[in-house]
Amino acid sequence: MHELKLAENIVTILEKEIESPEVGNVKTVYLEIGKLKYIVPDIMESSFEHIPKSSKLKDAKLEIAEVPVKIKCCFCGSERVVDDGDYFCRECSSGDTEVIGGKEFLVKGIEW
Amino acid sequence: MSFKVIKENILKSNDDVAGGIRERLASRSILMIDIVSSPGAGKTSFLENIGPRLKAKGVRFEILAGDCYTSRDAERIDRLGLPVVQINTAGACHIDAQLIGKALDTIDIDSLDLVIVENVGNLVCPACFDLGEDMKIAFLSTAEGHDKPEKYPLLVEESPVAVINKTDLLEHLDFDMEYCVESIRKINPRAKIMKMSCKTGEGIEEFMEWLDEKIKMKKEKAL
Ligand SMILES: Nc1nc2c(ncn2[C@@H]2O[C@H](COP(=O)(O)OP(=O)(O)OP(=O)(O)O)[C@@H](O)[C@H]2O)c(=O)[nH]1
Ligand SMILES: [Mg+2]
Ligand SMILES: [Zn+2]
Repeated sequence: MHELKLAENIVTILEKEIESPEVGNVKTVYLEIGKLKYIVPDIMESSFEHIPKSSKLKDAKLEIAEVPVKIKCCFCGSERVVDDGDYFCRECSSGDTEVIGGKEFLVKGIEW
Repeated sequence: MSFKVIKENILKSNDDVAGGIRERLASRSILMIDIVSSPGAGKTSFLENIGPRLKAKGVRFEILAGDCYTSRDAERIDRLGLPVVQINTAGACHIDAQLIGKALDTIDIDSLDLVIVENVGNLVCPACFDLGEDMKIAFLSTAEGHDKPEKYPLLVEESPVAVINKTDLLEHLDFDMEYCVESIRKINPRAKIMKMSCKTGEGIEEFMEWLDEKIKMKKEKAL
């Protein structure tokens, strides 16, 4: 639901990056977004499309890589992807785990 | 084809401001909590409950009440003579750090122990925005069903406290308390779970004690 605000932030970041003359008309913007952020890629893309931007960004499309939720056990150190909503460590059953993936929110790069 | 690596946090502008707020409050030992729930879970009712108690105890606090368009919640709180600043998000589904910064600018924070944010009713978006708070509180209620922790894990994962409000309605609902508690534990085994009713007062004292301890910890820089 907050895709619009985020799309605005993305455009702000991009406008700064394309200032340099070597950057041409941007074709693709690569994003990395964690699953825990509940971003709906379609909404993100259409929000991005509707924000006014300079000519170099006019035809840019978003390419969103979704990052799975990953935890690390604070007790035994083992890591795994969470696919079942259960954040316990499967190796030692400790509940003391830390989320190490799934909260990403990055503009990775641009291609032109 | 050419490629340029950027690697910039999309929320950087928000997170930088949030970091500034966190420092501003830390240097004055002020605790800030952010209450996040779906619409109508009872955030304002909860503030109406704890506000007068905090006042009676001599805790110096300010409530920042977020709302998309109206000032209804701030008016409810103001009617009880509690200190409140209205934050209007102009339709946005969440409060961001800039709005908190502006609200704090309008009050004298030097004389505060505690800032309480009532976020906009929404379990999704507020979880993504750091406001510079010490902690978010996942404020659930029985009326919305026992599957909400599972459906909105980010909030539960980020909140050291999960409140389950409206326990007085349990007899009328098919809410499975055990399932709800278990699913919170699965996501965040460290979370403190408090069952509450703003109607009967259940759990309010427990929350007050918890809050009192956190205010003290903040003063002793142990938080
Ligand atoms: N039965 C019962 N009703 C409650 C309880 N807490 C709140 N309510 C009722 O739930 C409704 C919504 O309460 P609010 O306090 O306005 O909820 P809110 O979370 O502030 O709502 P928004 O700010 O609009 O998202 C009101 O009619 C309250 O009287 C409770 O513990 N038990
Ligand atoms: Mg309210
Ligand atoms: Zn382990």
